[in-house]
Amino acid sequence: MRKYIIRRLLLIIPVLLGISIIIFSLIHAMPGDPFAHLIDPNMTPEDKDRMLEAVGYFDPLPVQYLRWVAGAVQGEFGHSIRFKEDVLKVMWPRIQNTFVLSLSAMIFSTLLAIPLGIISATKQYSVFDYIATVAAFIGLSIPVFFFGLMLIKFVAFDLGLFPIAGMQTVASGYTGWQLLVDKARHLVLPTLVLGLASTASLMRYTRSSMLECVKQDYIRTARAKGLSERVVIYKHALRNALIPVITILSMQIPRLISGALLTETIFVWPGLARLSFQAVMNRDYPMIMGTVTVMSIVVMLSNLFADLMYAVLDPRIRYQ
Amino acid sequence: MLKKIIVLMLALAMVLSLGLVGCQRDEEPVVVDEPEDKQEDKPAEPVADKYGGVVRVATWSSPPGVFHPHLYTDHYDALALSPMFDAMLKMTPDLEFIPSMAEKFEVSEDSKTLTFWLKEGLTWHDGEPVTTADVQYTFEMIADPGYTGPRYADIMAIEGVVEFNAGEADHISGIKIYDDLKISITTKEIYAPALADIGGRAIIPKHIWSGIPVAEHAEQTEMLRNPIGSGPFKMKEFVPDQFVHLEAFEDFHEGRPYLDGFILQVANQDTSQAQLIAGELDFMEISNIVQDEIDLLESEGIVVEKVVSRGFQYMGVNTRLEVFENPLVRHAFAHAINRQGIVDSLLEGNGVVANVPLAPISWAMPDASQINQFPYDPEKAIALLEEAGWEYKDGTMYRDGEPVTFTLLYPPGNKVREKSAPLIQQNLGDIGIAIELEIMEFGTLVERTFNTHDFELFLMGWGLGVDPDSTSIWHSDAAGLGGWNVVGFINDLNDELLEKGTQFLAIEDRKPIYHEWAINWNKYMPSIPLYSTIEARAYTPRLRGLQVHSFGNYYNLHEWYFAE
Repeated sequence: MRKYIIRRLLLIIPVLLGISIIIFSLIHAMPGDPFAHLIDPNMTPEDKDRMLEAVGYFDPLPVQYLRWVAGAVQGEFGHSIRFKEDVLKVMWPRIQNTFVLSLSAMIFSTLLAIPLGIISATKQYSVFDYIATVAAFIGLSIPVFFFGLMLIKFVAFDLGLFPIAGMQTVASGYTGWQLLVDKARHLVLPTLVLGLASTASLMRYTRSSMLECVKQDYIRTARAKGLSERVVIYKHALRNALIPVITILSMQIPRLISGALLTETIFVWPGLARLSFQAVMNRDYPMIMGTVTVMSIVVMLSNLFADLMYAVLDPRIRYQ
Repeated sequence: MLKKIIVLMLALAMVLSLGLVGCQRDEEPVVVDEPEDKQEDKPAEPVADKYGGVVRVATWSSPPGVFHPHLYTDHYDALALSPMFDAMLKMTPDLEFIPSMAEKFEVSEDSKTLTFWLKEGLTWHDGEPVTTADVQYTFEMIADPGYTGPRYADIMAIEGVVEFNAGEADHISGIKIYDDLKISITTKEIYAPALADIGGRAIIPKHIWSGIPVAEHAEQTEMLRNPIGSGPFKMKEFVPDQFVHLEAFEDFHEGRPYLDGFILQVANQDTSQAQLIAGELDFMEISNIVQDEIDLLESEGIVVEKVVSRGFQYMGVNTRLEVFENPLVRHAFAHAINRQGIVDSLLEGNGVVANVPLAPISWAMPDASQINQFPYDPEKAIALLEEAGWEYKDGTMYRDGEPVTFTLLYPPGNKVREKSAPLIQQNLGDIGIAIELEIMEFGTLVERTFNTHDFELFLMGWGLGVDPDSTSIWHSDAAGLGGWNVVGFINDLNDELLEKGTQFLAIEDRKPIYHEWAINWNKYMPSIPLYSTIEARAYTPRLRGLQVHSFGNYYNLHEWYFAE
């Protein structure tokens, strides 16, 4: 087991190298440069050339790449062109913000989806099942930005229950509990929006996985033994039904970091998705490389985590 | 217990916030006419009551945090910089330059030397005195060979800047310090935009920056994030992607600002109206007016002031291509595109058709009767193209026997411009020219147009400065790769007039030159000007003392206050 983990961790290095080469080539193949948005009549082409030279834009690509790798192995991801700050320092607060939002959305959707899925499955074709199924399809098909704007219109604006945008009341002077409550109020709507789509899909997975389980022979055996329905469902069926659900959940872990561009944009949530989007729009090469690298690492680690979770949940799976 | 407290606080917060919102909604909308009237009305109010409050201004994107007036490259940094930094002169809403940090200034007989006397007792945000050495340092920092910002071209007109930049001199010879308060700056030639480019230049503190080589200034993240200026507000807190919180500078030379603070708050253009009404924001810019939105805001008591934009939108034509060489072709395009229709439909009347490359409010704008207006006239467009040797047959335009097709490139972002592309396609389709639309992300479009000249037609806009000098946009020297004369307009009279235009300081002397220049431009029409928009500024009715104009929102920011 330990050998397996070490092997998988070591495998991350060549994969990362491959990813970084591909991304580096792609972003430099993109037309444009870091100062393309500066359409300023008071600036001459010479000014721009000098600025580009200062950020190393004219150096040969292999040189730029090796310089980046040399820094990256020491944990130095370079200086952002747009922020004039260390890439990791720019990313760190955004990662935290994104993490808070995504984690809250994930908890919300998991707590809602799994019970709903179980009830739907155990009471298949009941009124509840139909309502839950229809609701799930609405949740899956409603566009995020539309749902977000509707919530803002009705819940935040008309009813005034929650703030419209942002992560906290600016310059409120809140401290301690007040601050926490303020941040929590700002978190509610983005959480609903971000959690909606995954709630729907997670519920569908739970339901079908559960349906499959309750038809198995061992469930019939359990029932024949005279176990109560509760024990049958929650102890025997659920444990096995959750295995595929865990996979889906693990696949959502990278989202904890990468964020959700639309939700972050609508609610002006200062997260990583907006940061990386702007980095691409502004051709902030060190910034793009930094966000992509961090996201790649997270994706690979969470895949590993998912694989390990199988072994924990399913005694038949053993890694050599 | 804890739970109860939270619930109680939540309830209280909600009641309070509802109460506040209610108060604002009940208040009568304040009709703002002339800024002057407003000022005269107010003195009745005791001054002491004006102090306090924090204004929250919307920004559509977060400033990256390069808070240095000569190193920043992002428009959103500029929004945070202008309350923090001050210059020797400031521009009034009537576009005149008057002393700000200067007590007075003088222009020499030959119009080449500007002499400034700084006010006594000026201080930086950290309490250090402001002296002429700071002024000198500001220009020498920009002229330094290691300088990595975009502002060098602005100050090249000063005598000795080029030599200083080449490392041949210890100081800029055109800048002369008499004492701590008196300084003179001399230009090589008479330089018309001197008041804006020299007098209006934000001054930076020498004692903060001079210890670090200029080449390394852009790497001083801590110093860039915590700038020291001399403007009415100073940095309090910057939370990236959320807000910039500035606080009143007690020792501001025109008196402590009435407001305690100024917050630049990141907002979303689709929800900011709701935030303004709900009281989460106090002030925002509206660049594309949608009448329904304005009606909603006004019905909720929000003040909406309209201002004419400082630029124009255009369809760039690559005149380097043989097919576009003939001015008649460009004239035909101008007649074929229903520009008034775009203003009436897409802008809902909030705009004017442009025919010359100037801001509509510029003094350089010639009288409408002197320029060709190119009214919408497809018949005439077809006739002009036939005159140019093209052939119109069965609804299709042919050139040398081939049907004519062009590709129109345009960027996303500006919604009106995006929607105008299909209208232009339809209009040109009506005279038999097939247009293929290609929308592309801004950086890519800049690469295709300015950097490689690989285009036929494209849509973009110019935001212009106060001075009508457009040498950098239309002079033949700027027609190379990377230059702003992207359409390749080469015309001797045009070059001559542009050069002549900056050689006088007085507007009266310059007017006839720019009129002639605009008339000449209009005759050749190297690209098709489409329209200039009317924009708006929306703000809460409690906010007073503002004087917004086309070129700025923050004039006399220290006099903004909240009425109770």
